[in-house]
Amino acid sequence: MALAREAYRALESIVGKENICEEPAVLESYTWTWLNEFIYKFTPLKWGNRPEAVVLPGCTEEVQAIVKACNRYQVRYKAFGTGYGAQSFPGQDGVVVVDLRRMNRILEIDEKNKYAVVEPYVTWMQLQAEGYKRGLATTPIQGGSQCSVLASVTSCYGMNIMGTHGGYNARNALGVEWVLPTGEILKLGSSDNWFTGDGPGPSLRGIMRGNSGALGGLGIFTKCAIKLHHWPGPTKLETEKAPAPLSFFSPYMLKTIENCRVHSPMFPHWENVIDFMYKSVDAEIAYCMFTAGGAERLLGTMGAAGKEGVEFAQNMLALMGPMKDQLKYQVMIMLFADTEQELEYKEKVLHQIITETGGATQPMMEDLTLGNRSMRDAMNSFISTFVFGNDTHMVHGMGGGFAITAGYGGTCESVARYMFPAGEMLKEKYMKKGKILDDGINTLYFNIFDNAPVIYSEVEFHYDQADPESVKAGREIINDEWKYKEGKKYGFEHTDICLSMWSPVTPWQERVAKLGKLSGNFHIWQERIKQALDPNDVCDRSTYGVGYLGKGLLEPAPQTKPVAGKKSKAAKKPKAGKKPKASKKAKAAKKTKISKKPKASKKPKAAKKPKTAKKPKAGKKTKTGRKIKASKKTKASRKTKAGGKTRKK
Amino acid sequence: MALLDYQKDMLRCTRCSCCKFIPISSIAKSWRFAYGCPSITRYNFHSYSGGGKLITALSLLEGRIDYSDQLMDIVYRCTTCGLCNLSCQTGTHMEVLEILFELRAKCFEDGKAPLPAHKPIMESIKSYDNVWMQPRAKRDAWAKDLDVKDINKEKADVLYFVGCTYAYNPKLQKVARDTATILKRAGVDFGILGNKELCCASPAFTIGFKKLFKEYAERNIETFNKLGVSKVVTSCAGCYGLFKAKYPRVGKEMNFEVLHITELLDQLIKEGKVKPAKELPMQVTYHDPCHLGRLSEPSVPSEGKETIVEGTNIQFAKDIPKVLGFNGVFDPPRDVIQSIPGIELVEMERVKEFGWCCGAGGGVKSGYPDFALWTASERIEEAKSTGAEALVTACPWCESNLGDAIEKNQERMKLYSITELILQVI
Repeated sequence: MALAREAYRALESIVGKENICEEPAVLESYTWTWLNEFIYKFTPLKWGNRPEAVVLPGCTEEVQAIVKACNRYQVRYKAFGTGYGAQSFPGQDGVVVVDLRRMNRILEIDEKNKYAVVEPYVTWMQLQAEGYKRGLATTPIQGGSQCSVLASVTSCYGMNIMGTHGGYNARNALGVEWVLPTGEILKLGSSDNWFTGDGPGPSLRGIMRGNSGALGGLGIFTKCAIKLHHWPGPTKLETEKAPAPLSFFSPYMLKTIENCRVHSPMFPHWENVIDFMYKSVDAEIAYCMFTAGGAERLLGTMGAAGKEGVEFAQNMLALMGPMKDQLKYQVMIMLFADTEQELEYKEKVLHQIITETGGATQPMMEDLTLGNRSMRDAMNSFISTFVFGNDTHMVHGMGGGFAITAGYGGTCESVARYMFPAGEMLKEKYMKKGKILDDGINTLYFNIFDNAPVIYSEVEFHYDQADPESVKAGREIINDEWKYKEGKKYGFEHTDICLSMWSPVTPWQERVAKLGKLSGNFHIWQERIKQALDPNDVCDRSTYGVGYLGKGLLEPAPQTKPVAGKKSKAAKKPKAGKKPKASKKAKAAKKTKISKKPKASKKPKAAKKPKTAKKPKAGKKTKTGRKIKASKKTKASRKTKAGGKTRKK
Repeated sequence: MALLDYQKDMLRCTRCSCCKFIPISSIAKSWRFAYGCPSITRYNFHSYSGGGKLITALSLLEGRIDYSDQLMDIVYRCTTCGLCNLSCQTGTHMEVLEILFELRAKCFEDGKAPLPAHKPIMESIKSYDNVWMQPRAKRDAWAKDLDVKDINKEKADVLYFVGCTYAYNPKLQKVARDTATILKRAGVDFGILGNKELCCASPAFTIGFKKLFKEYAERNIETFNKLGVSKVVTSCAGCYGLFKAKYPRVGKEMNFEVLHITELLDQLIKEGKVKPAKELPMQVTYHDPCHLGRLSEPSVPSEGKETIVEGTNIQFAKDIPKVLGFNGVFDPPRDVIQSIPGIELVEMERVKEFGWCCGAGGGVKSGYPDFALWTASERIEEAKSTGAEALVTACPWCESNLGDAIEKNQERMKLYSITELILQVI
């Protein structure tokens, strides 16, 4: 269905002829993307919903005019940043993509107050380059350094490997300029400046996003201030050619950075990993910390570099000997300091923690060479390049593609307890069938935010995007994971945040609804927000909350004045919303329910009976949390710390 | 070889957008010069990026879209500079540039190409053996009064292959004359083919006219072999890149070494046969021509062939190495420039294998001159940011296009060919 001529002409008059297109040859590149193959209704290929047109606004005023035109002509739209992954793309037919590529300026860097104001198409790589010059840095974006900084902090997840140091990316959003779904412009935060996201009165940051972000479902963010952190490194990063076989993954490697050191301690069990991570966080030594599989992953990973890579991996594994089986869980931790003395101190603390938590380092790293550098030095540079270059697209080199099962956030213990065994169990079957990369099974990606309360985790698997059988296996793994989670009731009780909802069998909106009922009815709150802010329902809702299911979920929302005199869709549906059943747990948790209500909601009945399993207060454990076996150990180990310093045993 | 051979690579495009920027792990130095692909930087719609073209090609193969003016625009508003290929291959092994060439070849095979602007060039190669629609008899006019050996009549150790543009373009003939003069002064035993010299057929290759390219490549290789020369030296980066990287693909034995003039000059200076003696107090920056740089590294297309790495289940490996362009000619021109007393070379941010294209390649100068000038203007901005007063290069297309941009924008930046600088100081 082509866009109505009147609507097209209206959009064209806003952005100019050169910046609008509805030619199929152009639209196809906004139809195809990674992870579409794992979404319900799409084929194993990556073709999704083809948009009606793509517009390229150049400034906030144009964005506002586009949004108003879409309201006027009842045309759905979706904001589009750098666009990586299914959530960035139209989730339904009839959508106009608002590609923000032309809005690509860094508007300000306030060195003294440590923040930058950016437009939507400023990539992490660009901001970081300017930050380094000023001794400042921002936290990475999981999608890679080619991704939009603004999108990461305002709209789309926010995991990163420096979370322990710089926090979850959502925490780094300060002032925001927001074109609401109706076309009104809202400025969040300090009134005439950008230094904080909270201004006088209630803060709307929680409406703007939540943990996962609105994923384009609540209008368009046109400017954003981002918190910058202290950068202990040089003003310019110098690279050199990497030696083979590492060069397959990254042909460039950073030259040695002063006072920056990467360690990869190994542990016999994931519970040790958790202890290690908690202690490292308490001691405040990590600049970056994550897990990414055990030693056995080396073989599958290096296989991407062909015969040379396989030989390299086999030699490494042979050198590790029995160690690789005894210590199969590995953590990457980067220490970064302003001075040599500080680094020395951090290393001492690190080694003590490794000892305390039953881990070991890899001794052969000291003796081997790679290229003209010692293995330790080469690996140090290689991992640093990955961290500071934030180059995640190299991960696709393995197997031809990678994907994850649903990502989870929660406490360290709860997520680990679920994710480690689940990941191993889910992958083994398909690995034995030979359909996914044999990467040693244990490839749990795991990183920590905000000094420990939150952790993000995902089970990675590598598949070949060009092999339909391999793609099919990937779809089955994701589906198995859902079945496993539901069967065990994991993911709902033991984790607080379920981040990625794609599923090859059930529409993700149904997944969200199911999870919402078990997690404080967040989906009903989300729907209320959606209907209040987007009365004409023109901002593509597919990836926001329960998406298309939302329309029948609520009682009519309070009438909001529609744009251009149009009656809002929400107002046309007087159908009564379903009242979620209250379980025993929900009743028990009543005291801990969300206490604030959005002003727009006249009848927040659903919110009165949340089935939330969330912690009542920071620092206290939930009942379920206490039942976790691992927590005793962790709890005990945490007693050995005080004031962020490590004590002797 | 056909577009279909690369279907797996297209299926593996994740649309990550890395192809739009300089290679990520090379670490950008600034906001301003982080982009790498001129096409997407200018036209913004994703389909103009390397990855976008892969998706478009796949869609065409699957019959989801048909040929249209827009499609031809996407395919040909591209300098085929290969930056996308480099950026993609830093993490994967997808042959992006091969796919772009195969897509062009498909357009040709399906009768949709050449574009009207490219048609006369193809006709000119066929009719006159050059791209400028000039008579064969005028090909050696540049060498008048230089007393250069006619290699058709006299034996020589080195063939100086001039190329169509240096031979015919009056603005650039000076480079050919300077080159010959320097070689003579250095005592190099060289000759030229004169009116018998043929086009290298680089435009045919880049536009997608495979048959014409093959014909001229075979004829040229045959001629060079027959001459019995040890070296073929050219001052045209376009000819050089084609001889080095693409001629080996036609499967004929090449019994000669191919050198760019900057490589030979570097050797001659290091051997003391060319002595830059006069001082030239000047701060300059150097523009890496794509065809002398990353595109001059020989590469063999995989044609879609790959094998599974043992013990990994699905990890495929191509039987060909990744070619990232690291082994292009980067140091010799820099060494030559720095051999000049008083001169200071300051580098731009995007250099060597990830240099920004001048904008003239891939048929863009003839097909889309506005885009060519825009791309060149971007490079001039980068050159200006170094504080250099002059821009030096070693390719007729780069020199021509950068010069046009300087003139159009009324820039004060001076532009030199390397040979011009050397001739001033010896």
